[in-house]
Amino acid sequence: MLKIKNLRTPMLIFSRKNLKTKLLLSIMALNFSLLGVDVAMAHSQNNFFRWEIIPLIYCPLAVLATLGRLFFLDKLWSKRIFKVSMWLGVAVGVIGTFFHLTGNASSHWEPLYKIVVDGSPVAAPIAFAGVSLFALVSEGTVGLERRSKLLTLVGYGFLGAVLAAFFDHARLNFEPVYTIIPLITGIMAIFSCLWLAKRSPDRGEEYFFLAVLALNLFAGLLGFVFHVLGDLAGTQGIVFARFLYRNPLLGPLLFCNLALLGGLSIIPEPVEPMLEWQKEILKKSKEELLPIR
Amino acid sequence: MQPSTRRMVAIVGLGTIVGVIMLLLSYRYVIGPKGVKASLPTLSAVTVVQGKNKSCLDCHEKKTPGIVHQFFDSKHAGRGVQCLDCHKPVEGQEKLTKEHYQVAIVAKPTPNNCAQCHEKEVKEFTASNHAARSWYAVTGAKGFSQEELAKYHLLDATGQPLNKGKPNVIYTLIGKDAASQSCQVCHGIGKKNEDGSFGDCTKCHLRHNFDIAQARKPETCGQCHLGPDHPQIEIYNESAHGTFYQANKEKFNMEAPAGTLTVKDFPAPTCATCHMSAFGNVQGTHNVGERLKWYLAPELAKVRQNGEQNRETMKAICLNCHTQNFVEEQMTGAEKVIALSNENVEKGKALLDSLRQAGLIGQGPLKTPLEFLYFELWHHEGRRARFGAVMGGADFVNWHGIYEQKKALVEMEAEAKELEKKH
Repeated sequence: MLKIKNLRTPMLIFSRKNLKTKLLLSIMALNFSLLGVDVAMAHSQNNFFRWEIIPLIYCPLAVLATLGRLFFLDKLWSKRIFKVSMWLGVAVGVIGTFFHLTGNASSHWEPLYKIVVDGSPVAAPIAFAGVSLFALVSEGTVGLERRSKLLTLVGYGFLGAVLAAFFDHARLNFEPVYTIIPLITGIMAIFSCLWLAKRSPDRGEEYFFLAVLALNLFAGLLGFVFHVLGDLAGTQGIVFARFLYRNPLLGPLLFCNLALLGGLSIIPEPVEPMLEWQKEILKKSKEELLPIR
Repeated sequence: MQPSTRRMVAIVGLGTIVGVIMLLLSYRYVIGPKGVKASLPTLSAVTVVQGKNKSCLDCHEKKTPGIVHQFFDSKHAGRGVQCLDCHKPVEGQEKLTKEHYQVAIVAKPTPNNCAQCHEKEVKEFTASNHAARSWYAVTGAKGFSQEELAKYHLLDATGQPLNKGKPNVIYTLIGKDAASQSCQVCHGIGKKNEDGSFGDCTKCHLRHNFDIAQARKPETCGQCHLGPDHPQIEIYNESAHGTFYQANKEKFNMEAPAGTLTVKDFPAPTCATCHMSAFGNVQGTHNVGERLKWYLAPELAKVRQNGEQNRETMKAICLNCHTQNFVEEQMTGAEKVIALSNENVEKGKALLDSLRQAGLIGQGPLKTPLEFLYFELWHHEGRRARFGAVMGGADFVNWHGIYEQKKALVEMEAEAKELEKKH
């Protein structure tokens, strides 16, 4: 009979040196690729007007830099290129958010609705910064520190996803009511990620965390189906423009992506060898404690 | 369950409830349509204040704040289009170019300026009756070069300008002063510009704002398509389509991205839906005749070049809501009315020709009551019956159309008999 504790055994393969790093970098390369596809679809509406070409130039560079780091993990040049590229990604994300915000605004006082809801999606470009930071942490640290940082970033990623869904669904005035589902599951994920990032969790907390991620995975898939159905509604056939400019196809899958990243974040880290002074302390403490026992 | 797990579940649950409530409250009171207002430095402000464009804003924010506000409210502004992107002269605009505070500008941009970004739309518009042909109706061949007459299909089968190069008979009747304030106001949509282009995009898209929603609303088309000779807006309002629109305007998604429209956005068609918009699987066009089988405006309605193909495109629009049988039935019914209106016009024309041949009336137009009767027989009643038939305006088919034609024919025959008696 399959026991839950046995499920942890396959996870141990990730404790092999650098395997988790490589896995995370692979997922980041995929993320940058999908971001490129998503932005290309969205910006094609404006014929890539002026600065809209920036993320499309950046994405292939980021993919190459990430793959370079993945295949040449022990090379210094790959590390330098990777770091520069990722910090560039952070800048692209921040500048993109600024452009979307200011592009939606006029110079006059106007409803916030117009600035953050009714126009370019303001929560979308920050994904570049999120993915870049996640990649930097994936590559830059190991052990419990990495686990904690990754979970924190996934938590903030969920925050971005919740805001994106919030602004997007606000256009519909949250009708039908199931458009608040991603808000609920996303906020659950935010708190779960941040909770776990600060703790060394017991098995119950981990299972609850995984359940929340599974819920988000399901919500993402459900959202994908709803978005597709919405894009097909009212047409006699497939109108491709609707998939480009109406219900964003890849939007709900962001929740699936973050759920996956959350799951990968808690993969057991390789155990770091104990330093001599640590061994001494442990030995001493055992000796001192034994008589008491 | 461990106490720590219970704490986690409690915090996540409570946090989620509070978070969702906060988001919904912020929608209600902060970012929703009725929420707070904010002011941000804008992309357009950031870019517009560069170089010469800064000078434009410095003055026009004081002198003509309305147009500056319209511009800032536009998608153009949001996408960083600057004043001089539209107002700088392009090739061939030497005659239009003026020096304005040491900056070379075109005060009133033409479709050639718009074509810098909207080439396809301008090309389609230029090929439509809204462009050169519209202007020809009021001015005749005056001002057109031979190449332009040929290019815009304004020559008849013998190679001569249509209508012998003369403007519409009404232009001559009312005189140029009245015509400039009437005919030319609407027909200016196709006015010849000094750079050789025809038309004025701002007739449908509000200048400096260029709102797509405005062009999609029937009221915009109705600014010109109204009155006794082409009452399309009245016919639309009478039709089931127009009635639905009037009763459910708020359900229409006028701001929907171009190319994505379906019945979800437009539960009933507006003028643009059928004649221009990309709808369902049909591509959009700025050539308003591209989906029409018939020329319904001339003396005698006639089938357009590619008329059958155009009709298939129109059917594809109709089929988003109606069955094939229903569409065929409506179109067949409309064709019968078109044929009937043509028949009535031919009767009137034959009567008039016979009187001319007998020398009972002169060769010049609109000199006798009988000629006015005939003019209105085709120009008013004939068109109304045809437009009414294709757009579902029952009252215009009958009372303003075929009935009036029949009445006019009787009156014409009576007038003819009177004339014959006198001679």
